[in-house]
Order: sequence, then structure tokens, then C-alpha cells
Amino acid sequence: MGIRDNTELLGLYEGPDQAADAVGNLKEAGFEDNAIEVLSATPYPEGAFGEQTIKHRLFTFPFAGAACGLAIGLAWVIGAQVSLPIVTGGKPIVAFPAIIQILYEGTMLGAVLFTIIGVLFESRLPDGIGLYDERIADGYIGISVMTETERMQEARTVLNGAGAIDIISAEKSSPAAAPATSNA
Amino acid sequence: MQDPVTVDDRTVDRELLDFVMRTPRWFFGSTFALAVGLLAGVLVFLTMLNWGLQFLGYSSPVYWGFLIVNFVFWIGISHAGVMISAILRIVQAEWRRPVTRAAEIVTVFSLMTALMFPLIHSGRPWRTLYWAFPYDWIRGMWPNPRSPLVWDPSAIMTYLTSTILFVYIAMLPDLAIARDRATGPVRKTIYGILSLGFRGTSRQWRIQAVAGILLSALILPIFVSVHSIVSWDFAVTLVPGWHSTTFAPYFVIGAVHSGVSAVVMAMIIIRKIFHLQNYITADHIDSLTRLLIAVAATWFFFLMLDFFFGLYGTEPTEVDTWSRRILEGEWRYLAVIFALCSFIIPVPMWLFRGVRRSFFWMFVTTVLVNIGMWIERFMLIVPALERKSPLTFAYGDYTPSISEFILVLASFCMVTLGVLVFSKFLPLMPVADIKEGKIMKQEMKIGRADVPATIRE
Amino acid sequence: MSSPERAALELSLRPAYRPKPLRISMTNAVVALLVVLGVGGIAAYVSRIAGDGGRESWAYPTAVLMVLISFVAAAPLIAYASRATRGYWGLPSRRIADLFVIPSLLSMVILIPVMMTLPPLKGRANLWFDFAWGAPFFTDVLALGIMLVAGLALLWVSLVPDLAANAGDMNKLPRWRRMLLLNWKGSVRNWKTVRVTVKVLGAFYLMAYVFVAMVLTTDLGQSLMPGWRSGVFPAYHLISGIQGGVAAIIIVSWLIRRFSPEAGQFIGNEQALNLGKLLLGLTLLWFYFFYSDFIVVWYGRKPSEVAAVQVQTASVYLVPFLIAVFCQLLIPIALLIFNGVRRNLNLLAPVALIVIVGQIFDRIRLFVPAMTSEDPFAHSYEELPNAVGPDLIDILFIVGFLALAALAYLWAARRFPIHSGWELREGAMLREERKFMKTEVLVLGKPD
Repeated sequence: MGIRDNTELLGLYEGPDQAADAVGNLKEAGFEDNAIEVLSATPYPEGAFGEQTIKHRLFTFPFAGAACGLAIGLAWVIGAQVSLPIVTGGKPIVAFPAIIQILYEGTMLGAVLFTIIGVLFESRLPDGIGLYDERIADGYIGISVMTETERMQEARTVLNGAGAIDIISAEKSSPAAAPATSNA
Repeated sequence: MQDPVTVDDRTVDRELLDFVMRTPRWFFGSTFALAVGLLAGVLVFLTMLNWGLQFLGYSSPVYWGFLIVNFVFWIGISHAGVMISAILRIVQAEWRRPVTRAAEIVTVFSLMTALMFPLIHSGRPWRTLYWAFPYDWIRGMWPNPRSPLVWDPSAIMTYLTSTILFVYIAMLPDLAIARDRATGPVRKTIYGILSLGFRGTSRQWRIQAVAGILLSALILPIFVSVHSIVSWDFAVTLVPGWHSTTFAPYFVIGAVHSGVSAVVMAMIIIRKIFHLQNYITADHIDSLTRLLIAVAATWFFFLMLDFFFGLYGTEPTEVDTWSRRILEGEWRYLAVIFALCSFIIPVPMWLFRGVRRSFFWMFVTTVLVNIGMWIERFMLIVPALERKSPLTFAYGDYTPSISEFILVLASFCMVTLGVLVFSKFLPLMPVADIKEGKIMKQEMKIGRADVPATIRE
Repeated sequence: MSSPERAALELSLRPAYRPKPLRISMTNAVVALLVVLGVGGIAAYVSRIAGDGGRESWAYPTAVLMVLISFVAAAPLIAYASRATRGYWGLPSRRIADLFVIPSLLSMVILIPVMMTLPPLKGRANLWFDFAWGAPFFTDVLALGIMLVAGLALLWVSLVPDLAANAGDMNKLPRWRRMLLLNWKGSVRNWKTVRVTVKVLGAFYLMAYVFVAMVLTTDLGQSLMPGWRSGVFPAYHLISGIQGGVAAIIIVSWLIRRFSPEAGQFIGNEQALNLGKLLLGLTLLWFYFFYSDFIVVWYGRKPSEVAAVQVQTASVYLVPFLIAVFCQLLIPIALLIFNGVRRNLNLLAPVALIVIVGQIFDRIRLFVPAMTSEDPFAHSYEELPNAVGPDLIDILFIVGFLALAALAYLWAARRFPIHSGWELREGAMLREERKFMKTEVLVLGKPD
């Protein structure tokens, strides 16, 4: 009982309207928003399929990264100058106008690196868990639904009802990567 | 009005991934030729390592010549990629789609090439480790962060890292398509690893959109800082003709001028050799050229500021430097070529719609701009150094050597080879972005007129 | 999807929406206060004209002149930027920006007496290379005059469709009024002409403004102060002026939304967000140009240049400099990095006001030492001068002329429609909400 028996089904649709109908039908059938996923090779306007709005915290990552980058930059710059104090041109050993460049670059680099980490985190990448089909790259839209095994048949019926050209499933008692069966 | 891409998704994939999936014969010939050019540069470098910098023709007082000119030139070219990509993403201009990837890749390879030159120029490149990085702290050998020459690597590495990561993240959807389209097991595995399992879920697309704008907003200030910091290599000195507060914005806007021209040139070449007439249209070149007109006008303003305020204080050394640049001395002919190529010929031509929409004339004018801007960097650096000391016995003259010309040629080969090899493995046009553009394309009927429209992102 | 202002989408095309001038009560307490201050400003002006004080007595008025050249005269550039980039967000802001040319006319009133106090060009650094064509008086007045005429022409042409629509039957109007309205009929040719003309005049105004910034900042600043030699300073002044212009538009937009429901219905978070982003970008650019100037002097350590920077920044006028830095840079950045502040006009307006205050102190620290320098012919300061504080007349001048500028704007807003009706209607035609599969999207028309 410690490991849930969940099933993921992936229905493939020729057109976005059918896929949108499938999402609507799944919701009406009582499947939760966060169990339904839309897969496409092209981005559609948010909400086009009636899927749930994506919430993310990507904007916090650059701030955290900038703070780290600034701190590291400050430590490096002040530390280097204090460790090897060479007076040049009558300027002070640690002078703000002179170190601002390195601080700035450190801050921006930190912000960018953390943003990249944030992008990967929020996108749930690397992703080897979910179902996928190469026909999605051909323009087909995939509607994936994660459900308990007991409701698998119901989900299959709903997906078929919306005009799926194929339905792929994988039994999930532990994270698996490959599609197991394909039912047209 | 943008010509919409009318072919279906599968055709888009096939056309844009054509060069990735199969190799035409000309690829081998051109790669070989470019590699030979690059090899010549490597040989010159190795000879220089053995003989010293005098092999390249450097001696007092002109220690900065072609190599630094080339360094500044390639940093300049690298600016356009990110500027176009980032600014157009932020303002959500639809016409950016075919342009962004190629511009970003030109940026990456230009930056890498630019980075080579200070290393070559140091004469003993391994010593830059002490100079830029805290390599030998045990002996107390710390870099001097107050030096602009230490700011340079920090800025360039930040820019390079950011650009590479930016390009990679934006390329994830295309890597996924390449993974799905690849036929061989090796390619499939490599693309699969690189794509990180991207599936195209709503979350992943949403994050792609947000990340595009967020990273653009972060990279834009970095792009401004890089060439400003390069300009301060010159401006913070007291060399007559260099000690000018306009250098930072002047260099940045000059970089954008030459960089955008280079991107236009690159787009025209890419369109021709990869048969991408469906994707790169006269509208794109027209839009880029209108941007170029605004940039060129701004650049001209800063050039005038530099000129007038150089002469403003009537300091004899400043007046002498400007005089040597444009009126007397051996470089006055170059000044004429610079003026003609950078502004006088191309910009008035760009005011005509027919020229803006002509691939031939745009290629010609953008090549002229890049010739002019290369000369501009030369005019900035060398005449000032020849008389940098007030003592007449320290005057010197500079004559470029054959080896420097070879190194310049090698740099062009390196960038071209880099872009060509890249295009062999990954598409130069963002496939998913192009397809998104098809979805976003709408039409509005106002009276009898069909007005092109777009969904606001 | 962020939703556009509902009013902009539902703007009536039939019958066509015609914006009216603002209804501003002249008995309003704030207006009355502005009038009192304005009278004080005029009195201060007359006092300076009648007095026998030389260039030094016009130091603070020069700072006021440069403030007017900054945020007041720069505001119309925002309208041009919005038109050139076809930004929909800028539609309600265009007329608000264009009207700033009316208060900028006050700059000519100050410029003429100031120019008459300047010493001869010969012997000091100047942009005119000692040309005897009446430079700098004639050249600077001509340059400013051309800029103001271009701005007035721009305002006039952009007003014609709205004024003609409100005027009723053109045939019943007197001839002079028909000519003033360019015999407007609303034909296809008329519309094409007005669209092209506002863009061309806008570009011309931009070029004129850039030139004016260059010559005035040099003739009233660098040329008078020993050791001050900075090529980037005109660009710095230009960018900070545009920053102030954006701030001024934000403040006026907030006031309109707060006090005029009819006009304020088009101004909302979409405008705030875009103006806020502009303000943030310009604030960063302010620092960039300031630092570009500063670092070259700091590193070069030429005694003449260092002395000039010490006067303006580090020592003599340290207090106004610190106020300028806090108000034009630190506070705006600290607040504008948050999306919540940028989206909300109620939070953005105080930030904009702080920027304007900072700009006033910035112009004081730049131009007062120049106008009060004892020896403009010297190459460098022998010793640092003392700061020259404002006397009562100077304070009256500053406050009074800013009040006069506000009154001039209010006068214009009472005479002319505060929104560009024809552009708003055009924008309404090109914006549409549509159903796209299961969601609503905003579709924007992009005609050539």
C-alpha cells in the first residue's frame, strides 16, 4: 500500500480542438486538473485547451542568484585587493568605483545561473518519467491523464470519445520511462 | 506585413532540419577551406609563441594593433545577437522568430573568437592565469580587480556563459524535435540527453515563455556592460584621443551598428545556402534595416559627441590626434573609407524601401558597414598610440604585418566555421518558435480590408 | 493573459468617441496655490531682470531652465516613441505627453536673459570654436526656438482631427478657423497626411531636442566651469531628461485617473506597467551614463577634471548630489524592480514624483557651480569654491516657475482634449478580444 498504483494514459489527437474537447470531457468526468497534462510540439496560448493555469516561482530565482553573486563578487574583490595591496595612481586599496564592474558582473552571472536552475526546476527537467510519443513532433496533440488503475477504463473511454487516434498507457507502481502498451 | 509561413508542421520540420539530417557535398569543401584558414592562424600563433610579439610587428609605442582591433570588432559583432533576440522578445515583435537563433549563434562564436585575441596578444597566454584568476594565491599572486584588463574577462565570461545558457534553454524544444526526428541511435541518444526529456507539457511551454523574457531582461544589461568595459580599457587611460567619457555608449552603439549589420548579412547568406526563402523574407530584412537606421543615427550622434568634445578643450595633444586621424598622416585615406562605408553610403540608401527589401543591396551595404566599423576601431586605436607620449623621441609608426592579416582572416574563418558546424547539428532557425508564429498569426476584417494581426503573448 | 483596459476595448466607434478637455475648476485650492506661487515666480523673474546681479544671480534660474528642458520638454518624446513603435499601451499617454510642449515654452522666457549674462567665447572652451555668428546667444536661442516650434507644430497637427470633430460643420466656421483646422474633412488623404506628419514632426522634434541638449548643457555648463570636459554629458542630460519626462507623464496620468473619471477610464495598469518598465530602464541608463562620466575622471586623475567632479559631486555640492542619487537612482531602483509597484499607478506615481525631485537637485548641482564660477576662462580650479545656496528670490523662482509650468499644462488641458481621440479610436479598431479554443485572447492588428 506504500506505493500507489497509478496509471498514465496518453491520448493522441489530430487537431487542437479535439484535444481541447478531451480535456473538457476529462474534467467533467471528475478527473482533477493537476492530473491532466497537454503535450504539444508547439506552444499554444495559455488556457487554450482549458488546462489549469500554471503557477510558478521562477521570478524568485534571479533575486537569490543575484544576492549570491554579489556576495561572492564582493568577497573576491575585497579579498584580492586586501591580500595584495598595491597602491596604483593614488587610489585607495578598496574603492567602490573600481570594484563596481566585478560586483555587477558577479551579480548578473549569479542571477542568470540561478534563473537557469529555476527554469530546469520549474519545467521539471530532466524529465524521463512521463509518457511521450514521437508523433507529437508531427503536430499531434497529446492529452495525458494520471489516474488510479480503477479509473483507467473510464479515462480511456473519455479519451476515445473525444476522437483519439491512439491511446498509450503505462502501469505506474514506480517511476517508469517507456510507454508500455499502445491501443489504437 | 509579415508573410506568414503557410506550410504544415511536418514540412517546417523537414525544411528547417534538412541540413541537420543530411550533408550536402559543399559542406565538406567549405569546411575544409575554412579549416585551412583557421590552421594558418594557428601556425602564425605558434610561430609567435616561439619568436615573441615582435613577429607580429609590435614595438614601442604601438603595442596594440590589429589584434586588439579585431578583439573589439568581434566583441562588437557579438552584441547584435543578444540585442536582437532579447529586445525583440521583450517587445514581443513577431518578426523576430526566424532571426533570433542565427543571431545568438553568431554571438556565441564571435565572443569565443574575440576571447582568443587578448590571449594571443599576451604573447605568453598561460600567464593570463595569474592575471585574471586567483590561480597562485599560495604565493600571494592575486589579480588586480581595479584593472580594466581584469574586468574584461569577467564581463566576457559572464556574457558568454549567459548567452550559451540562454541559447541552450531556448533550444530545448528544438532538441526534442531533433530527438524525435533523428534516425540513427547515436544521434537519438545525444539529442535525447541534450533535450533533458523535454515533452512539450503546458508547464514547460509556459516556463519557456517566461524564461525567454526573464533571461532577455537579465542579458540586456550584461550586453551593455561588456562593450562598455572593453571601452574602458581605452578610456580610463590618459592617451590623447582615448581619454573620453563618450567611449562607453559610443562603443556599445557602434557594436550594435556593426553587429546588426553582420546579422543581416548572415541572414541573407543563410537564406541562400540553406534555401530558407519561406522563412526569411524581405519583411524581416526591412524590419532589421529600420532598426539599423535608428541605431546608425544614434551611433553618428555619439561619434559627433566624441569628435566635438575631443576638440572642445583645444588641448594640443587631443587636437593633434584628431588631426592625424582625419586630416594629416597616412591614415586620412582610411578615415574617408570609414566615413563612406559606415554611414555616408549605406544609411541614405536604407531610407529607400526598395533598397531595404532588396537582398542584394542589403548584403552590399551591410558588408560596407562592417568594413567601415573595422576601420573605425583601427582609427580609434592606432593613431592615438603612435603619439601617445608627449616626448617626440617616443613617437612611433605602425605598419601591420602579414601575420596579423592572417590572424584576422583566421578569425573570420573561425566564426564562419563555428556557425557552419553548429548548423550541421542543430537548426539555425528556432523550429518551435516558427510553428508558434503560425498559431499566433491572425487576421482582422475592418470594412473590406484584411488587416494582419497577432495574438498578444 | 493580462487584460487591457476595458474602456479601450469598448470604446465607442459609432457614435465616435470624442474626448473633451479636462474640467478643472479655477477656484480649486490647489490651482489657487499654483497661481499664487506662479505670481511669486514672475515677481522673482522681474526682480532678476531689474537687478544688476550678473551671471551669478541667474545660477538658480539656469537650473530651473535646465529642469524645464529636462522633464518638461522631453515628455513629447515619449509620444513619438509610442507612435514610432506602434505601442498600444501608449495610446492614452500620447496627448498627455504632447501637451507638455506648452509649459516648455517657459524655457525661452528664462533662456534669453540667461544668455545675455554669459561671458565672451574667446579664451574659454566652447563648442563653437570662437565662431562670430552670435554664438552662443543667437545659436542657442535659435536652436531652442526651432525645437519649440517643432513641438507646437506636432501638437497642432495631432490636435486637428479632434478639434475638427468637436467643431461641428466646417463650412460654418470662419475662414481663419478653417485654415487652422487645415480644412479637415476626414478623407483618406487627410488621415494619411496626419499620420505621416506626426511621425515626421516627432522625429524632427527628437533631433532638435538632442541638439538643444547638446548646446545648452555645454554653453550653460561645461563652457563656464573650469576643468569640466565631458563628451557624454549631453547624452547624460538627454537620458535623465527623458527619465523625468516619463515620470511627469506618470504623475499626470495618475492625476487624471484620480480626478477625472471620463478621461481616466482609459488609463490603467497596462499603461502603468509599460511606463514603469520605461522608468526602470531609464533609471538604469541614468546610472550608466553617470558612471561612464565618473569612472573616466576617477581613473584619469587629471587635476583639472578631478576638481570639477569634486565641486559637482564629492565635496562642494555633495548634498544636492546625494539627494539626486537617492531620488533618481536608489529609491526608484529599489521600488521599480518589483512587478507589483510597476503595475500599480498609485504606487508608481510617488516614485515618479521622487524622480522629479531628484532631477531638480541634479540640475542644481550641475549648473549652479557653472554659472557661479569666478573665472570661466581658467583651465582648472585653483582652489575649490564654496557652495552657493539659493536666496529667497531663487527659491521663489524655482517654486514659482514650476508652478507656472503646472499652470500652463492645466491651461492646455482645459483648452484641448486630454486624449488623442482619433488615435484611441484607431487603436480600438485594431484590438479585439476573441475566443481561441477554450480561452479568450487579445488580438492586435498590425497594419503596414
